[in-house]
Amino acid sequence: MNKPVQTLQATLEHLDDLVPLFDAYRVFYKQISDLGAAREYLQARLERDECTVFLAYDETRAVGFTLLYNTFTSVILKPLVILNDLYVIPDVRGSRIGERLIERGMAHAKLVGAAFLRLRTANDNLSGQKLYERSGFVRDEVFLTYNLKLEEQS
Amino acid sequence: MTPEIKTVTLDHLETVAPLFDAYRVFYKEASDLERARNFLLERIQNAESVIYLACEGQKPLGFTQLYPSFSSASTQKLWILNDLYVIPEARGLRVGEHLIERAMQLARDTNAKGVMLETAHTNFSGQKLYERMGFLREDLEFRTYFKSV
Repeated sequence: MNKPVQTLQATLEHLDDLVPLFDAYRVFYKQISDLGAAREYLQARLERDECTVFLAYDETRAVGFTLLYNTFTSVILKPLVILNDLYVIPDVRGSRIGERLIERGMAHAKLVGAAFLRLRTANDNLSGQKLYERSGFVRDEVFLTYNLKLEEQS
Repeated sequence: MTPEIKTVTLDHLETVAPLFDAYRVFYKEASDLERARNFLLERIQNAESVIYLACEGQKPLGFTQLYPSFSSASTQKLWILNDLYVIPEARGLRVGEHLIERAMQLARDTNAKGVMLETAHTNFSGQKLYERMGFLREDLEFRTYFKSV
């Protein structure tokens, strides 16, 4: 049986729990581990109210998080919430912690009056895609995303 | 023609609101100038977006609106170029290019990772424009999901 899991909205007081998870998440996305940079980044976002983070805890430790950014959808004149990051530590996957975090994200989107919750995931992240589809997300077949990366500009 | 690019403040609200309304109508929304105006008013008052207006003399030709966001993976700022509109009679005059150039300058000035945008699969002229400006499609790597709230 799964251990009981609790979720809460992270504040600056939870930085020590959040930073290692965020760093592991970034390493998963091929970044170099940098706990200092991760802490600095999260502290700045939380202090300025520029993101919303939910943390999941089992009986002993923080086991996952989701980080959301608020933005807007101009065409329908409403807020939009980007579920930017979702991470659950490998040894507790399959315990529906991802679902719980997504539910918190959804409740946050409702609270801010958003029209949509939106996310991007790698084409090869099949377990993520299954989770999102199970959680009621639909693939966007209408729009293409384009990126301009400044460091790639001469 | 090189349009003048202005950073929109409350002083330009009445000029940019009709363009914003026309942009929404292009995306199949019903015209609602009052709501469009109030939406922009809130964004400007709360500094929740940056809007650039392209003008020739006093005549507005187009606008772009960017929302500030972030890239967690790179721990950097990121701008979402959410809206770009050029009035029909000014198309083909590179007004869109000038607006995008200004957006790229904003990204450089703020040490952002870059600029992200979405465009319809069917908007071929938009895609050509973005690719000419150096934007790259990400659908070989990423896919987008959404859920209605």
